This record gives sequence, C-alpha cells and structure tokens, in this order.
Amino acid sequence: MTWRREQEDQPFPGELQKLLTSYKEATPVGEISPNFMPELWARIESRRKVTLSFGRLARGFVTAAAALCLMISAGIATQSTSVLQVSYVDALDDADEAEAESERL
Amino acid sequence: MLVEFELIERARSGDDAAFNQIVASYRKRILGTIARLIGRPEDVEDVGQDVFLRLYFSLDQLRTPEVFEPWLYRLTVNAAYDYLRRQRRRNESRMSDLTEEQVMLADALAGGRADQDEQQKRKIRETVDLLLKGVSEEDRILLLLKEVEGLSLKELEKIYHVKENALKVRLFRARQRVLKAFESAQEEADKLRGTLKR
Repeated sequence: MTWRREQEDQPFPGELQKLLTSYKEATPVGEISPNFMPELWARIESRRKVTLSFGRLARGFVTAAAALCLMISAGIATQSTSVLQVSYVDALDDADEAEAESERL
Repeated sequence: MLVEFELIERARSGDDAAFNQIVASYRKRILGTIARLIGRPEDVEDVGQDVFLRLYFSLDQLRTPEVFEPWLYRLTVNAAYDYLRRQRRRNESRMSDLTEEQVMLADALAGGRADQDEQQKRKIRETVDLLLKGVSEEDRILLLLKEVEGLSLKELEKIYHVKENALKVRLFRARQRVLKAFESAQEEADKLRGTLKR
C-alpha cells in the first residue's frame, strides 16, 4: 500500500515537469476582444427569450390540458345524469305498466 | 477569491452589474485556463463566453459564496470537455496521422535550430499538445489542472466531487501514458540528432 501510494504521488521527471510548467507561460491570453461582453450578453438575452417562450408554451399546454379535462369531466357527468334519469323514468314507466296490468287482472 | 462574497450574493439576487464585475475579475484567469485546456486560441473566447453563460444561469444553484471558485472551475472544465468532445467528433484521426504527429513531436524535442522566443513558445505548446493527445479529454483536463494550473488535490476534490484517492489513481494512470509518449519521443529525438550529426 505504501509503495502504491508512493507510485501514485510520483511527479514527472525533471525535463517533462519543466516542459509542463513552461506551457503556462507559453499560452498567455492575448488581448481580450472588446466584443466579449456585448456578445456574452447577447447570448444571455437569447437564452432568456428561449426560456421565456418555452415557459409560456408549457403554461399554455397546461391550461389547455386542464380545460380539456374539465370539459371531458363535465361531459361525462352530464351523460351519466341523463342515463340515470332515462333509466329512472323507464323504471317508473315500467312500474306504472305493471301496476296497471295487475289492476286489469 | 478575486471578488467579495457580497458581490456574488448580489449577482445571485439578479444584479446584472454585479455579474459584470465578476466576469471582469475572472475573465483573464478563466480564458487562460481554457486556452491551455483546449489548445486552440481561436476558440478560447467562445468557450469562455459559454462558461460565463452557464454561470449566469446556474448562480441560483450555488449553495454558498465560499464554493464559488470551485463551482466556476467546474463550469470551465465542463465547457472545455464539451468543446473537446465536439472537436473529436469533427476530426478523423487515424493511426497514420498519429505516426506523423509522433514524428513532429520528435522533431520538436530534437530542436535543431536556434528559436526566437515566440517560436520557442509555439514549440512548447505543440509538444505538450502532442504529448497529451494520447490521453482522454477528461484526463487531459485533469492533468492540465494539476500540473499546469497548479491546483492542489484538495481543490480538485471540490471541483470533481471525487475523493482524493480516486483522483490520485486517475492522475497516476494519465501520467504514465504521457510519460511513455515522452520517453518514446525522446528516443526518436536522439535518433534524429544522431542522424543530423552525420
């Protein structure tokens, strides 16, 4: 385990380490373009618009879906009431007929 | 920290002027890191803007201002990694190309003529870029952060959310690959020098 730990901590040999250290100096950042900030803000605004539009679209879908659900529920409820009423009316009719029949007899 | 915690808090609350100040303070450092991670000066600013764009839209996820710098480094690493993956998909690198690159590497190490400062820097960049070609993008970024940017293992732990031991193992393997490339290139360079002397 100690050997393994030593192996893992081994730095690079001198020449290679020197090369990597000088890599930082060899890659300086040149003059930063004056357009950097304006372009950054243009990208931020563009993404904001996309996020806003997507948000509006999503809210629109949710509202439409909720409205549709309400309509379907109302439709189902109305249909059920009519069926019951029809059935109840039919049942009354049937009951009257049966009574009339029995009276005749 | 290059900025006060108070500035970060203001930026988190939606103060765009505070965000601008943060960008101005960190821009040079982040662009320098990106330049070394991606190795393509012409795309540095574009990737840099990507980093700050991600920062802008993720500031509300920052738990405390104290973790701001590791957070910013994390965004930088992710943006650089995404860029390198896109580049890899675009480039078709075949074995014959690698052999050519190995030759270029050997030539760079042999250094047959006296170079001016800029040429020397270009050679260093090319040499290191070629040495790192043999490792994955993730390992390239990790090695550069450790060996060139000089980040400690503790700092890397915060950026990668990975334990120190796991990082050490990863670094060890990546170092071995780079060392192997360096040693074989040196052998080739010695052969070249020997040929030139004759």
